[in-house]
Amino acid sequence: MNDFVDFFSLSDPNIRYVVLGTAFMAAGSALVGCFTFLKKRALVGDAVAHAVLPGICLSFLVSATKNPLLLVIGAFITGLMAIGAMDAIVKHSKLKEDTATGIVLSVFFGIGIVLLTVIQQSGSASQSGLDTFLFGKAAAMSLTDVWVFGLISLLLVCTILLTYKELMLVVFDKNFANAIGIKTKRFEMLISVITVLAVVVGIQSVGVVLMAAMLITPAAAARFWTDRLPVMLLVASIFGAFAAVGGTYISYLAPAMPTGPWIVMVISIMAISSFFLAPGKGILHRSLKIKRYQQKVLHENVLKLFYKTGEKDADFYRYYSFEQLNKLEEAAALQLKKALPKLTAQGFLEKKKAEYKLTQAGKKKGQRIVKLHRLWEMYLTEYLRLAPDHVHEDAEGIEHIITPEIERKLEEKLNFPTEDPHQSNIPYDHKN
Amino acid sequence: MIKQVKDPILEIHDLSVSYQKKPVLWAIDLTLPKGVVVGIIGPNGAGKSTLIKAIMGLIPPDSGFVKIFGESLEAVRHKISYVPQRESVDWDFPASVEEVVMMGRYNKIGLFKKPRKADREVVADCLLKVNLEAFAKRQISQLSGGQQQRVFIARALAQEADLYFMDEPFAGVDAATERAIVNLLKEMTASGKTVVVVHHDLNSAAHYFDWTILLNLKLVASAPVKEAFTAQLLQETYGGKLTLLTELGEILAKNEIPNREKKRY
Repeated sequence: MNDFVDFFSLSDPNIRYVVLGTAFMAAGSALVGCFTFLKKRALVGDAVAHAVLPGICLSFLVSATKNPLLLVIGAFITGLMAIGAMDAIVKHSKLKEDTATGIVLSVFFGIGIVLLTVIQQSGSASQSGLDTFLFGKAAAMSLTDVWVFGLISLLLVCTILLTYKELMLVVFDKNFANAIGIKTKRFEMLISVITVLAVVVGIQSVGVVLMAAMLITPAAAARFWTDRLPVMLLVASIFGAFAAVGGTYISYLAPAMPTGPWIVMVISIMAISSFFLAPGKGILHRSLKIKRYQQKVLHENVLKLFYKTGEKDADFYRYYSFEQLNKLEEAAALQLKKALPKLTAQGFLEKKKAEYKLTQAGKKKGQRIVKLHRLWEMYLTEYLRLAPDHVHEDAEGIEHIITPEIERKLEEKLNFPTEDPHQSNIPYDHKN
Repeated sequence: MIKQVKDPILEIHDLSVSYQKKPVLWAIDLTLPKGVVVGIIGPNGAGKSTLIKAIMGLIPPDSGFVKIFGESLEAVRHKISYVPQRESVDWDFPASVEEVVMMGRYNKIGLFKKPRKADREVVADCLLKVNLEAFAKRQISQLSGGQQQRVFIARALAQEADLYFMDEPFAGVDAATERAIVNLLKEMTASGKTVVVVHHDLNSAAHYFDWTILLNLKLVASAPVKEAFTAQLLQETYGGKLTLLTELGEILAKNEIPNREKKRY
């Protein structure tokens, strides 16, 4: 608990730098990532992240200092070169974008590793700490770093706010953007530049290897929660910042733990939870919906069974035991054990000792399903010209999804028929 | 049957276009009058979409030029509107119907600026014209194909242009929507607008359009419907496969030879 207070009170200036720095970085790259994600160029971010390594190494070799501004400039140049190389490969060869991305990623990263090895063997690596760029080391952030990265993140936010509507149009419908005279090449260049900037800021804390996660994962997670781009941008940046603070906190509790990978772990967990839990699009919500529908079908089928048995016995309110019902041919696929107590609790059945009978409400509901089934069979034979022996299976499914409006239309279209194609009576409410 | 008009709203002069080095249009030369619904008609792969894309400057031509209202495209862009093919975008994009229609106002709003009240009113008005006012806040992926098509048309209307290019607005659209769109096009021409529509159904073409462009890699006809729809011209458009042009095109594409020796653009 003390750790918690120490950390979140931000009283220690080192913690303050790290927390603020990573939160700025994560929010900025999440914002930019939304556009890369919607442009379906998720892997481009990964390639750029790997391609900034040679830039960092080169600017260190040239300047022999670890001045963050110089490293940023070096990283920025090779990152932009990587995007240029990918576009050039796609334009001038028969290779597709995925291949171009793969080539650029590995070639640039390979050069970066070679340069890094050269630096390490020259003996200056330990004081330079350049190898931390591979996996990131947020804990090493200084006040200058926070200023540089904070300003770049602010620049990213302002750029996106100012050009929001053009970026949205260029990503959604480039042809139309061109047609109304928007210089789409410039905006695509702008997206490239802000992607590289976001990467350059981010590698300090999460490293080149994991940087792509900070671009794409918050956007992917946010997409589950909303269908509106402004909300998606906001949610993604909040997710990103939250993951940054969370990851930093974990590595504060266990100092041997690297910050970057933990930030990525936190954002990944958030994305996976969104995948399961988000309303509407989440797996949980969708499977619950399916479950609920299956239960509705089961209940309606059991009431239908009671009604049809009552029809045969000419008494709708007779008591039946579970065994009696279970023997019936129509009960074969029904989970009666599960449905009977539930329907009793809902007031559609009445239980006396071990026997069940329909209540009035239950009879009404069962009767409606039987009516819909037989009406639909009529519709199929009359309007789709199906043979009477081909319509039952179809009606078994449709009877559960016909709404009262469609029910009324069916009745009118068929002019209230009294018998279905198998000469069974079609029960209407008003006749009782 | 290529009928030239005086004071044309659109003049295409000797326009040749290639797509990945393969010639798709050969020396198109035509003029269109003002205030009509024009149908660009031809079989699959005839270059219909390519023609309007080239007019809109979305594909650079190998040769020739286009003049609209007697001026260059850049000078009159604000008076031209474009409806791309519906499948050309990802409808899963997180945007609402009104946000997409608002895109038609972007060049009037200007860079770095937000939509003004007047823009929102134009958008609402355009949604009303295509009967989508109840769907304004709906996410675009939740619409049917016909509704999505109407969103694109509303976006074009929001541009308040004088000349409209529509790429296959009837593709994948139900009969009711098709009728509604046709009526809308007629209303538009009645108020002096000109609409150019890419279309591939011959049967309906005679009823929908005042003027037709018959196209199959080369221009077969450009004339009022009654004059263009002759058995011979239709046969020339749909019947013969133009094997010579196709064969030559393939040779050019295979050897990566530019169609024209000197690019004028």
